Amino acid sequence: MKKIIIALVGQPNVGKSHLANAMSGSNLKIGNFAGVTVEKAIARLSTGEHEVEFIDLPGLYSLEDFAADEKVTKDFLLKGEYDLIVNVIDSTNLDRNLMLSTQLMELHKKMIIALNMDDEASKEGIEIDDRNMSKILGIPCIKVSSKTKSNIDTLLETILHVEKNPIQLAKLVYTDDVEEQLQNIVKFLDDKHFSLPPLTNKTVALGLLWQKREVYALVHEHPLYIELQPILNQALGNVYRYCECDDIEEVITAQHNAFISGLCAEVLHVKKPKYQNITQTIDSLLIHKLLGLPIFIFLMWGLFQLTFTLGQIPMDLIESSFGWLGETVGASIENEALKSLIADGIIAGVGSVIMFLPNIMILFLGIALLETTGYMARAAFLLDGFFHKFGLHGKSFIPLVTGFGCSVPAYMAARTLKNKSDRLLTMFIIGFMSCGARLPVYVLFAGAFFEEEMAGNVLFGIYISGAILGLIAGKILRITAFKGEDEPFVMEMPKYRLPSLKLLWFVVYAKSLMYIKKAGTFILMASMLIWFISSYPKNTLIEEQYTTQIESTLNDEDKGSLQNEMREKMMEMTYLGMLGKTIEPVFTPLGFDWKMSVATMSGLAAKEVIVSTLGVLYSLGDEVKEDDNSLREIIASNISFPSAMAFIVFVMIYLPCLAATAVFAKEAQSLKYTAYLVIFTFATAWVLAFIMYQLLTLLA
Amino acid sequence: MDLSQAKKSEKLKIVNIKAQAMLKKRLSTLGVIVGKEVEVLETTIQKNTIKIAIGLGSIALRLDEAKLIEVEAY
Repeated sequence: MKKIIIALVGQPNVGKSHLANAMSGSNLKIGNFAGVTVEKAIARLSTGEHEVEFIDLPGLYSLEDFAADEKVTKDFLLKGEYDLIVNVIDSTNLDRNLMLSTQLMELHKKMIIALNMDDEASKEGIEIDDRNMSKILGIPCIKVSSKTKSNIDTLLETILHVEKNPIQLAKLVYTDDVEEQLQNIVKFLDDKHFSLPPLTNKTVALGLLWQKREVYALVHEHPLYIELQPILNQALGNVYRYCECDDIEEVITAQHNAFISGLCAEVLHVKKPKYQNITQTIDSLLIHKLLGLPIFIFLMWGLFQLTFTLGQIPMDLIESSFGWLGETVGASIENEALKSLIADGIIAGVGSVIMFLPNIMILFLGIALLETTGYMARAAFLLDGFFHKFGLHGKSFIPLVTGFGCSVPAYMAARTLKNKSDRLLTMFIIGFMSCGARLPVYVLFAGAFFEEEMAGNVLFGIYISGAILGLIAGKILRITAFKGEDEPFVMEMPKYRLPSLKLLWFVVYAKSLMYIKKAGTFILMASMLIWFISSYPKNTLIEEQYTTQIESTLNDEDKGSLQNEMREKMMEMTYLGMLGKTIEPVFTPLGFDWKMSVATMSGLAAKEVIVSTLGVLYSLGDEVKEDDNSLREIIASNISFPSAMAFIVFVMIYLPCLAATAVFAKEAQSLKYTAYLVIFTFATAWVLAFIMYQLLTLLA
Repeated sequence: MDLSQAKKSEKLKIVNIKAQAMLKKRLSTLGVIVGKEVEVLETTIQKNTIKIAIGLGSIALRLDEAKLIEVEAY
């Protein structure tokens, strides 16, 4: 079977992923790019004799931009292995989308243009003459709609057809003066029998005139270059003179624009003049001068309310089924140590993490909705003025919101900021946006210390205060560490679109699967480790001492408390206990006992581990009380209110997990800043938790 | 006059863009080019950012950037 690799390229918000999804059925998979950690989505499709693989590259407005996220796509297009480019275009915004297309055409690869969202365009009275467009450009241009699935088959057939046949170069026409200069260079190259396969001499000439580094590097190695140079100089001089401009980039843009205007005049017919479209109507409400911000805050509040209330329903079920599983499995195992490992270690640890899956799913659904409907850009628009005061950029909003899901993609999303100090500052602040992995800690503690009606609000409060602290930290860092000019704020306001349910489901499904996988592997190992170091070495001396004491006691209540005391004492003598005792002094001013201190440290591995550690530690120590075996009640009865609040504050701020820190180091490309991040987050977390604890203790 | 002084729903034509090369390129990739028709659609409460219609789409700008775009009545 022959494998065909298709690079899907297009500007952001043109429905690339949706199209890949429509073409391939439902086999969209997200994987990592080799070398660079940017997610690329691959969809596969078998058509009898061919296997077609779509690579869904990150959207970009222009190949000549230098934002890090856009570089990934450019690098892939220049160096990656693929058979042809499918340039996805939003038919309702043809002229702007063609700016990228003209640059793609100059790559001189096999190429097809997919005029997506055809159904929407017809509705808006936009008519594109695709036949004429194919004729003018010399490459197939096909109207498709990923929503109605119209022409998807034609697109696939065309892909197979173009792949099979020799390359047909796209016809891009420049102004006569520029064409003349190009011909001069081509003629010189032809006369000297110069060839640089697979490039044609026209491609080489264009690359030289447009001063493309890649082409220069190739030609520069040839002895011919000495003779070529004066001709090139003259051609360039002429071009500058004709265009009345001495910046080659501007010349290129102007040439492309002229071509696009001409093309649009031929093929684009807008029947109705610009009218009040749906997007504009929705925007007049959602980014309304006065109502915009309150609506935004309300939507965020709603999301966190839903996360708590809706998530609560299956949560109880999951918790009780894991409790049942632990008891049942525990009862069937003879060996005491093995029984403890499985029931108290693995099931308690993994179960306490899986329990929060519904909350995580709702949160990720919310973020996916923000991204796919187009509201994210509105939020950036509304918040830019406010963010700007705190030294942040409106666009920082996107990585910051992503940070509510997970810091790892958030650090990567910060690539949309071109200015380095803006980017680093945003990355420092991302940690203040509580990630999904911290959610279990909050849900657990909010549920333990607040009434159920209040818990959702508390959750919202935690997230908001984290965000506010982040803004303050941003201001401080802007004044001290990251001085410098701001990046301009220029951003597309995409149309509002109803996201495809399939795509939404896919995102939530992929994230949930990742969470479960993490629980099944990483959290499982961590739980076993925590169980082991909290069970060994067994101190038989204490055990014997207490056993005789318990036997001599007649009162049942005393027996119970003695048994608890024994478990406590024994755990204090284990490796974990010793470790906890060593670091306890650091956390004592915050009101943490050694178990909480240990949980904080284990949270560095992954924030979910905090909960699983507490689960293991408290389920080992508290087996006696059989009437309240839910972790929430155990927490409520073992930890004081001020300690619990200080704990939340600490968890809110201190270093994101080690995996995220590693990504930070990679993205920031600086060990110095990574060290700053570690110190900065720990210091802030400690100080604020200290204030919280002392304040609450005083008030109580 | 520049775009920051424009009133809402006023149809204007871009006559000059005084931005630096990088910003100019960014603007052009989003369709902000000399000769195009432009219209202010929305502003935020303190007028820090504005939303403009350009071509068939719309983009958001800070007022600082809008000041660099010279316009005249269409």
